[in-house]
Amino acid sequence: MGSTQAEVEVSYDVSNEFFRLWLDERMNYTCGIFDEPSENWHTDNLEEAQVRKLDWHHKSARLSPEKRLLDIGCGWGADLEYQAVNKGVKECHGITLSRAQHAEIMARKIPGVTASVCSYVDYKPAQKFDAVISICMMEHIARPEDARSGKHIELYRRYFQLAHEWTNPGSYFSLQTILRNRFPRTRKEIQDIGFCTYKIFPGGISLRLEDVVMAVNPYWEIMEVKTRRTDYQKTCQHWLDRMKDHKSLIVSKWGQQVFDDYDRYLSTCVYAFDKHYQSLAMYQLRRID
Amino acid sequence: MARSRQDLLALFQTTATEIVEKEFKSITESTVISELGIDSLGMLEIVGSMERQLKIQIPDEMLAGIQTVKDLVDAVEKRQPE
Repeated sequence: MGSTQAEVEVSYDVSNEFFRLWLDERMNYTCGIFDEPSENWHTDNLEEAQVRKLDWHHKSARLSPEKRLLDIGCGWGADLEYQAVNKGVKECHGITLSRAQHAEIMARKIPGVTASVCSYVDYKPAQKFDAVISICMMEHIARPEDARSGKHIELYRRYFQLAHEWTNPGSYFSLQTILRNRFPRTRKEIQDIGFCTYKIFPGGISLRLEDVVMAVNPYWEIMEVKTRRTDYQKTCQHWLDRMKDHKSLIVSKWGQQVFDDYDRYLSTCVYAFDKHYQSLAMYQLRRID
Repeated sequence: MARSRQDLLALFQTTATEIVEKEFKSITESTVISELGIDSLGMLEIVGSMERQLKIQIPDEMLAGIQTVKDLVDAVEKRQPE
């Protein structure tokens, strides 16, 4: 069911130092926010865009210092650290299947932040939480064959049910997922997107927006949804540019194949977001008590 | 101007020949596409090429239902501008 630990580690365990070279300084491996037209706000800076994203989730999850936060699929701890250090949330716990990511979180030694290497299906919290944040983890819940057979909705629904069980009444859940919009039509596009799916993120698949709309019921109410396709295109372009800037070092430390794979993957992402093959959505969910 | 079903059938044949690099004889609407030796990847490429040539878009959820040439012609015909 979903990505195995070995598959997650294919996606995230090339080396923490490899990812540190081209992600933002906090190591967010997800879409940042570059434009907020409703607030007349714009940045071209990746670090600022990532902080803007983390702040969006802070507000969306209705966090405050006394609340207990669960971050499902916490990566290298960027969100945990931001909520704890920048927003004063006193208890933040993250779960991830990646041992390398967990090691990074432990190394950061952030007061109030804990993390465990654990699948969401096995997680049993000792105490309920008051807020949930989950940023691009749902892509690991179903496999491509689950989506083709229609089994994915029940897998997603189980995820939302568990988050409901882990939280107190009145909780908010701030969610972010990559969306698959339109299937490509040329051989190269199909092969490149297939490469990203099966080589870089084995065992996972992006969601359709309607998958979330169906699966949240009867546990969570969708209060807000916002798509950010061009923000993710810009994020991936920044990553690609930064990675290319470190080409010599990457090739010398991890080999030409790693560079070529990530060049192809990030270039494909930029293209796919431009062509509407992919998008991204951010959701605010309120617990149905 | 909308093309006739006969024209769409001919367009499928020429597009398939170009993409799969194989000559097809006596294709009719009842022909099952997979029996022409066209796999799902080839089918997607043919659909994509016909979409670009006709300036239409077929929704992704219809693609799995296209088994015969008639299915494809039906899908294309519905989306042609009148």
